[in-house]
Amino acid sequence: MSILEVNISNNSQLTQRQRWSIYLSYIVILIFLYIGFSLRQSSLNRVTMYTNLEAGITALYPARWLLDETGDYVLRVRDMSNRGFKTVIQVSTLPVTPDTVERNLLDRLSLNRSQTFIDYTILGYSDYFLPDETPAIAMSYTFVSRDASPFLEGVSTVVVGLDILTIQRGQALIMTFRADSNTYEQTLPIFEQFIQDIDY
Amino acid sequence: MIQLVRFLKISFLLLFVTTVMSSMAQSASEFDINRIKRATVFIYQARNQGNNLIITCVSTGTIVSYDGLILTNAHSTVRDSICNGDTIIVAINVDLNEPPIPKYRAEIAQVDEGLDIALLQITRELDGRLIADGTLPTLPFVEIGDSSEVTIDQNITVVGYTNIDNQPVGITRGTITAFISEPRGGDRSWFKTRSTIPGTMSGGGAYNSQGQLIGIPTTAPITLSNSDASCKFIEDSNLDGFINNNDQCIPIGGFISSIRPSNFARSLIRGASLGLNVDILTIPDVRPNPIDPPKFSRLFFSPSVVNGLPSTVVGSLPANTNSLYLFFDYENMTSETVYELRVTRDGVPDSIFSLPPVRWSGSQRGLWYIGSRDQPWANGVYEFNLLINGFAADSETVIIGGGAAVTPTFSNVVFGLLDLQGNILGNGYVLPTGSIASARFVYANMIDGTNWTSLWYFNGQEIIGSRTNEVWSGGENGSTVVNLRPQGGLFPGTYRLELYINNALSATSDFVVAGAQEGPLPIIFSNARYTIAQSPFEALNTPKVTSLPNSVDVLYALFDWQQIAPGTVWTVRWLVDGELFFELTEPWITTESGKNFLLSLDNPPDGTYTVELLVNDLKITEATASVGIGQLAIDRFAEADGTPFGGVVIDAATQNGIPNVSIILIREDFSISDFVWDQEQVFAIATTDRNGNFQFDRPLVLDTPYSLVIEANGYLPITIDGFELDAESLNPLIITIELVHD
Amino acid sequence: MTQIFDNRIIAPPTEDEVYPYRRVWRSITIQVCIMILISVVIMLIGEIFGIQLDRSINLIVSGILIFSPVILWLLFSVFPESRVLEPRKNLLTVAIISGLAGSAIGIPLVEEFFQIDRWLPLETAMQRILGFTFTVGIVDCALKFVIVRYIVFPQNIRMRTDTIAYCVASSIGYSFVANLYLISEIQPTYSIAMLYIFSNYTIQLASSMVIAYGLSETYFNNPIPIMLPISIGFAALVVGIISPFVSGLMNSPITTSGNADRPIASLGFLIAVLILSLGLTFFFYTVAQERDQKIVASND
Repeated sequence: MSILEVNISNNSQLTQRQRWSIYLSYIVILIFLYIGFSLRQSSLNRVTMYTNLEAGITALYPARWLLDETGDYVLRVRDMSNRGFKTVIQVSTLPVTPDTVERNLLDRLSLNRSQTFIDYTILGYSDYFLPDETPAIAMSYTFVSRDASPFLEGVSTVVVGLDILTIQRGQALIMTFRADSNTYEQTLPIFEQFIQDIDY
Repeated sequence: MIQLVRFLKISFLLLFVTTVMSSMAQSASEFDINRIKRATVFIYQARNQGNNLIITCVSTGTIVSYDGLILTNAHSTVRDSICNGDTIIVAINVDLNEPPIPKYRAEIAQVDEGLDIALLQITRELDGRLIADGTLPTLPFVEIGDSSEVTIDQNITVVGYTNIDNQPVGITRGTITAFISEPRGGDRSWFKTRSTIPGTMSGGGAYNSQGQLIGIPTTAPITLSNSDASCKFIEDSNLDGFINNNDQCIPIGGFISSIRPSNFARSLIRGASLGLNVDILTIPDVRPNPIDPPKFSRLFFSPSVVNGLPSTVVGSLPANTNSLYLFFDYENMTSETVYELRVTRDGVPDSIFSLPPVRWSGSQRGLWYIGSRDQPWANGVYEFNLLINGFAADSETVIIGGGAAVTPTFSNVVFGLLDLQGNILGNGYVLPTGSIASARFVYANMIDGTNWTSLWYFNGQEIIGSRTNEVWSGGENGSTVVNLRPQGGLFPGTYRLELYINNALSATSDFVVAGAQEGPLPIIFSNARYTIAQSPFEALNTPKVTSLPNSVDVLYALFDWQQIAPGTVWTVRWLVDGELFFELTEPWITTESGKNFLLSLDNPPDGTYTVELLVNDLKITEATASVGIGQLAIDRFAEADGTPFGGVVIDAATQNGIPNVSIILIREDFSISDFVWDQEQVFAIATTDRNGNFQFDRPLVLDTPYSLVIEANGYLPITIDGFELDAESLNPLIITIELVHD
Repeated sequence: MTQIFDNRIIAPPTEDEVYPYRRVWRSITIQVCIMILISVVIMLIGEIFGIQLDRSINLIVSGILIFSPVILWLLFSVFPESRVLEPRKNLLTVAIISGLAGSAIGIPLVEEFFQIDRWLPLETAMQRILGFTFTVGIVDCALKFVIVRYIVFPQNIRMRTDTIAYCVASSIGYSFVANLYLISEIQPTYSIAMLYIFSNYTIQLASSMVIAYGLSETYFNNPIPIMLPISIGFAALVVGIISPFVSGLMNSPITTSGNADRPIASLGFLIAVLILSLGLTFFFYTVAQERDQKIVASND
């Protein structure tokens, strides 16, 4: 095979076409990266609509989270693909009287939870404002979660929870978020988006 | 030659196939002993001492419903002088080859101390934390079999804990050798077995060949005179740094030979599983205990029982006797009293017909019997020794053997009111108040001129003037009537008639007088009805209801009563959809007559409720009402049948178990494409533990096409439709699932 | 002493023409064949014969296997350069920089920013191909392209096969780091580790072939400017197609008996892809070189 060799002394010079090829390549790379980012966002932010006419709640929750309406809550969704504590978003309501304030309800929640949650500890209260500027109270807490099956060697997980409680139209609305303490900060934006989208 | 070889090959092949198929069939028909072992728990009763829990008593128990209802004995769980703990700990079989591990705390949901049956409900975790409703995982449980179908020589398997050492749950096999009859349970009040059942197996389960629980091995609580019992010193209960006789020992109990039939527990289980609590509001909760010590008296034998009463009285029985009952009067007995029957034949202990120490299941006073029928009694001189709390109470002897004696007998006494034609009218054993009571009895082999006596008693006291000493002139065989016409009339209470031939007791029977007369039948209870109200006081004045469209918080039952003497044994039974869930038999302790006897039932679920009122085991009246749809809801979790499904999820790359992966089984009505991640579509969810092991708490139904979804971050999901088990599938099904990294 | 002189005039001895460059295709072919052999042998031992190793020994063996592509490349690509007249410069530089870039930018971008673990496994087949293309694929190819562009292009490019040599160097460096990360994160059994190593080797090599062809066409053929971006995009697509297929083939369906992974199927797929990508690239290169020779001949 004969050798085709280019004069090395001319190698450092690129033609305009070649330079444009390289510039276009960078643009294409950026476009591809942007498409990739969009795909990621659309997949991670994919939501499913939930409507409960009786409770007057419409919400968007993450797609492929398991919806449960069978308990003493309006809705509960869990991320079943999460390895570890299944991240939970829950919406529940409590009856109130004209004398009831948020703090009473949070105390009631805490006292009940202290009966059944392992090592339930309240971290603190803080003021919170909903997207429509409605004031609410946020309560953060931790507890330990363990798979309840007595026949398996379940290992306990520390869970961080956040309750956002507001009293409106004669009832208390409690939006709860619970996640593994290791991934709490990472997954909190999901809950914040949920609060943005909920309509009641 | 070739054909012969071919024939032999085919024959061997057929033989092989047949052997394999028969062994498969055999293994398929054997019950799942591992599931039963898993459902068998170890129970500690403990008491708090400072920061410590000191074990006071131990026993075995069996989980009988998926939501943590445990069947066991009452004597080792209900607090008393020996088992004085107030905390019940339940230890679960996590590994069948290891001792059980304490996991939960339980409370007594239902108890019948006389039957020595208790139902515990798991309510808390081991650390005392409440278990929220619906969060207790579905536990393995056993099916209750029909103990009335048990036969003599039937093989049984007893499952329980043989000791409080390092042994895991154990089994022992044996056969049923005899049935013991008593008034409380009829012909099958006890099963006897020669199996070697250690004392710690008390409260466990005896199973038939289908794996159904047909009995509860029961031993008596330990008493000072219980020489067979053992008591182990295993912990420093007084915290003095030593384990010695100054510490509290844990009673283990002697070997068990008696089994309480499981049918006795059905009503308790039903009441506990439905959460039905009955309160009798008209009379106080605490019944006064007798002051005098318990005693037995007037022992005699009868070859048969009619309506709980002796047919006749015998002193001996011919050869080939297969039915014999020892009758005796009892007084001052309580449910904590331990009684025992020791039978010897010609001086040699007879274990078949003896009854080991067990708790008393009758009321405070009355007539009792222990015996058996349809079981051969060998010839010999039998001595029956009754013991109370380990001490000899009374004894009697009977001879069996020889030919049938032709002796004069009286038998089959029934009571009622005499009509103009001389017929006895009534129900036989409960008469209304009035002026005269008549008793008809059968006589046989009588000789005219024989001295005979009739004697009447009222509430245990001879009725003055009721004794009649006469000379027989009624012929050899037939029936005749004797009458009681006491001064002042027949007062409410318990009456007895004794008939003597030549001063030897030949027949005896009891009857009750209560209620006003309506024809020959008594009106004791009337106006039985249901009502609903906000309070018991309000219930007294609320009109009756027979149908309630919605569920209610409290359902009240009321009835009026008249002329029931205190001490008259009466029974109230409550049924739902025809199944008994509450029964109480005790002496009447309130006024003789009155209105609005009130009972309440909390939170009755939908169903048809019937309350029955009985006196002397005869139903007097009943009332029925339906709540909601009038039928109990079907509980899909209540089926024990199915194939347990478990396994391990491993990482395909590392071959290590993957913790906290959820495996979702979708109901057969939906496929993967239909699955919209709604809990309603889910049949069950299992999550792997730290080793990747998982176990579904609901068994899979055969020939049902489930769908399976496994999703875990970082791994490719696995989905499948048509995940179906058939009869050939392994039982339990244990599989390995490999997840692949993306 | 008598000297005999031959007075005839004879032509001087013909000098054999010496090829002054390392023959790239031969080197790559030898490396690929040995890699395939090693992979097949390891998989046979681990998966067919089922020989398992203790955890610590498994880690050591996996660690040694990570170096197999690098060692082969050094033996058959780098060291022979010192024996030719016109060695290629900066091969090691390209490889090392690629590895560093992969470690510093590529892997964090894919794992932390795109977080493909969280969403990509759950997508449909087509979505997975597109997802891998626009995340892992473009990141890998972009980094390799940029490194080759700024270290050796165009100053060290003398002939078409130079682009192959440098892109292969980039792929070796990049895949080495990717394998290090994967094996340390997952710690698979040695046979699966070999599969992962071979998988990364194949993916990086196949995509590098495409990038190399794009670069060589751009430099030697001066085509329309869109040619190079298309080749980069196509290289990313190659990554996007291969990656989901490898894990997808390994993932077996579940039955009532459970399931077991199928690494042999993945290995077979990778071998086929590798041979196909090499063959196709060689074909296109040969066509391009023949075209160049015709142009030179016609100019002469």
